Amino acid sequence: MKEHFQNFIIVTIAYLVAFALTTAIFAPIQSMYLTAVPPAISLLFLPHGVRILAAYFLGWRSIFYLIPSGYLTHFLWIQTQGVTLDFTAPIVSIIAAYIGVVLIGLIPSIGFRDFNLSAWKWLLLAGFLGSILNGLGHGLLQSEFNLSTQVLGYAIGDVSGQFALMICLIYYFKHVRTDDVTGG
Amino acid sequence: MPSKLKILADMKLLVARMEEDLGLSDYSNLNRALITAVADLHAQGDCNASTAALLEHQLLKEFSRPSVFRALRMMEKSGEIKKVGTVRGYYAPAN
Repeated sequence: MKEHFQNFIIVTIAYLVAFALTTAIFAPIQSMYLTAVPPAISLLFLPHGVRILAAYFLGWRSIFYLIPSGYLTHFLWIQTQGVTLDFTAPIVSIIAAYIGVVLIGLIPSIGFRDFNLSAWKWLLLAGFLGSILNGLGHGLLQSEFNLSTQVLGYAIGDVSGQFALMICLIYYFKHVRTDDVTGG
Repeated sequence: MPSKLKILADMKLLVARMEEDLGLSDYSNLNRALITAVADLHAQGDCNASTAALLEHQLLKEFSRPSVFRALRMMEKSGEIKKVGTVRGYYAPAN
């Protein structure tokens, strides 16, 4: 029980930090320079990376860990961006990410928890699949949804966000290593 | 569900592989510098690279002694460099 609670806290903090960076830094820059892109679509959506990594490392339980932060940020996103999103949108996004990881794990010789060589590339592909499913799911939920443009928009934003998050992880671990060496 | 330590280890491995593939790894920088330094010393006057000379080499000055020794052992193990001569601490490119 304690372990689940710890996982829940870690996933929630990671998701909220990723969301905060997306809305506080990237969204204003995007709305300033890329006015043609609808505000509902972020071209660098870091939380998708948290969903994919959580699904990969924590399995189906990640769905439950992510629901509270998913809904909290859903309402914040609606408030800050002034967009209309379906109430079930957060669950669709979380489950789509999980399905993306599971589908990649179904490829023979890869296995769900045994991506081994260059797992990060497979995870990016899982992120892409999850994003397409997410876009399709949102398409079904929204009546005014331009399927081709918005699915593409979600895919670009989600995959670039996931990639950026993984780069952040590289530098985080580098920093930790440096601290270990220097005794800081 | 795997333990927290296992998850952390898996995550570090995943990130390390990505770091390596993207050329962002300090370790690969050290390896590259080391093989270049060994080749450089080896080419100078047709002699072999001594550990002392390697540690003083311009390309390796920024790395710590333990890192260079560790990299020497690993590269020798992987067959990229080889020990030469009868005295300890002399290296040459494997090819």
